[in-house]
Amino acid sequence: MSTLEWYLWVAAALLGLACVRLLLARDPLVRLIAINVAGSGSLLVLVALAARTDPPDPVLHALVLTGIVITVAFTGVGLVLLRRAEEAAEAPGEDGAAGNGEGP
Amino acid sequence: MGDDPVGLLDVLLGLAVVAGAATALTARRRMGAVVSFLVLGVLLAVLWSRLGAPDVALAEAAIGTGVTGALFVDAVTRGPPAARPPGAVPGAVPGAGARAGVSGALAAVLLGAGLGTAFAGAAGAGAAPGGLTGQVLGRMDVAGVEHPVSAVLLNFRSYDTLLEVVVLFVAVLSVTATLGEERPRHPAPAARAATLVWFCRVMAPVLVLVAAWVLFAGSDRPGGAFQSGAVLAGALILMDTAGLGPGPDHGRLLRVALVVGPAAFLVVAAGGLVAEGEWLALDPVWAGGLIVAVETLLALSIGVALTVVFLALGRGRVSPP
Amino acid sequence: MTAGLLLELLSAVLVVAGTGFFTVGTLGLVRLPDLRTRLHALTKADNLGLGLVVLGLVLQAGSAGAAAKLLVVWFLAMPASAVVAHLMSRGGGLSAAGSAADGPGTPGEGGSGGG
Repeated sequence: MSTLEWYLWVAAALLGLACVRLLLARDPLVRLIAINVAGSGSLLVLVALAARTDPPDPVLHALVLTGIVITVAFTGVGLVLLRRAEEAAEAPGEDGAAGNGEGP
Repeated sequence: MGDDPVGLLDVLLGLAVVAGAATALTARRRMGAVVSFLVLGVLLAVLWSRLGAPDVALAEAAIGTGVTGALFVDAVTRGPPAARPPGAVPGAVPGAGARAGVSGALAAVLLGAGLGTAFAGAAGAGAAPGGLTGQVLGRMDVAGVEHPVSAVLLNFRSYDTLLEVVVLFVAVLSVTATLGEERPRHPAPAARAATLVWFCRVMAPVLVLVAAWVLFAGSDRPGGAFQSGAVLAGALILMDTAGLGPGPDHGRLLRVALVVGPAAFLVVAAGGLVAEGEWLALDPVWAGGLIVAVETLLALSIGVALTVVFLALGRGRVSPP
Repeated sequence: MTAGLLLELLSAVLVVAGTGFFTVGTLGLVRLPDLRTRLHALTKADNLGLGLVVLGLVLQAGSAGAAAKLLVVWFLAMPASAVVAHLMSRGGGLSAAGSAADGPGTPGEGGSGGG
């Protein structure tokens, strides 16, 4: 097995684990972590393919950088929504439940 | 590198990454999952370095583990207490525990095997393994910067980068839209830790300096606007943890800082339309200077954007009224 | 033995010794009973381990600039870990909701969250 093949299998393992966990977990935080891990798996595919040439393929590296930034963006949104949902669930009778305020 | 038989280092690294992911995904408590996720991030950074991707390793360490880690830890440690009842097993699968666990594991194995066969088959059948490296390196003389990844990000594929910045911007809008009416900030600790304040006073300028260095290093070696923005966000988050961070009266400043980056990018893009007839075209004579200017403002905006997402996570009640 | 070979050997010995200290620190993290003893093991062993690894790499660095950057990494990591250890042992680093993070699978708290 070559290095490239090995890392493609590692990426497949990450993707398989994370996707299954994403579907089966009940806690939204664990699901967010699963999305992050699945993202890392797909990024590993790109970086492994980029490593075939020397110097490594810069277009694939740029795509991976873009992917990392987008992952942090939607993880942040997911965590804020999670926090608001938990706060709203804890105080159901209150005004100003999640997302229900004077928007900026 | 792709055709050599796999070495011991690669095997161990791959196994460590899978083990870290498995630990993060099957942890019993939220805190355990988050800490394993941080460890996984460090292992991934090592993996990217092994695969010859130092920019990606920098970005993974700064953005993927640093900022995302700060967000996760904040979400886990400052949530409303009712969300974490003591005996809860948050990752528990609904339904009969053992049966669901086995079917989940089986599904994971099948999915992983299927994907692995598909990937390995596609890579082996391969198109010419050169990818786009040759084309990029052949155009470096008109790129304006000397580092290929920066050239791709900010010149050849700057459309992707523009959209990525807009995605970050939309994320900031989404989180600030959930803030609703003014809520009190999470209360500062009664005795503000003098050690932390001292540390922040010493470290924040150092971090800003490091951010500036990473930004300007992106021209001819690994670095760039995104990694620099993440280090800047780290400095701002540190200041916020020490109680010295941006407050309600800095609102206007934050909004301006948030907007300058995408605005400058759009101006340069439109300028390309006017000057060269093509959206985002960069005249090789001006390319270097324009790229540096846009990168600087982008780094500032990215840093502020990531900080605002972190701050939005913290605003809200800690204890019930 | 040429100087180059000697230098490489010394660098390898330092890096291995550094990782040895990291291993000991991790062993302490896993085996010690409560927060403060674990912090004690971690900060001391890990800082020393990092220092040895950095020194080993400095011997192999190509230029003075690269060597200086490696040393800066060590000098930044030391106050960071010291401050974090101080804050955690004060109990100020975790939320007032009192869920001080347990280590992997240990039973009691042993008063680690206390003031």
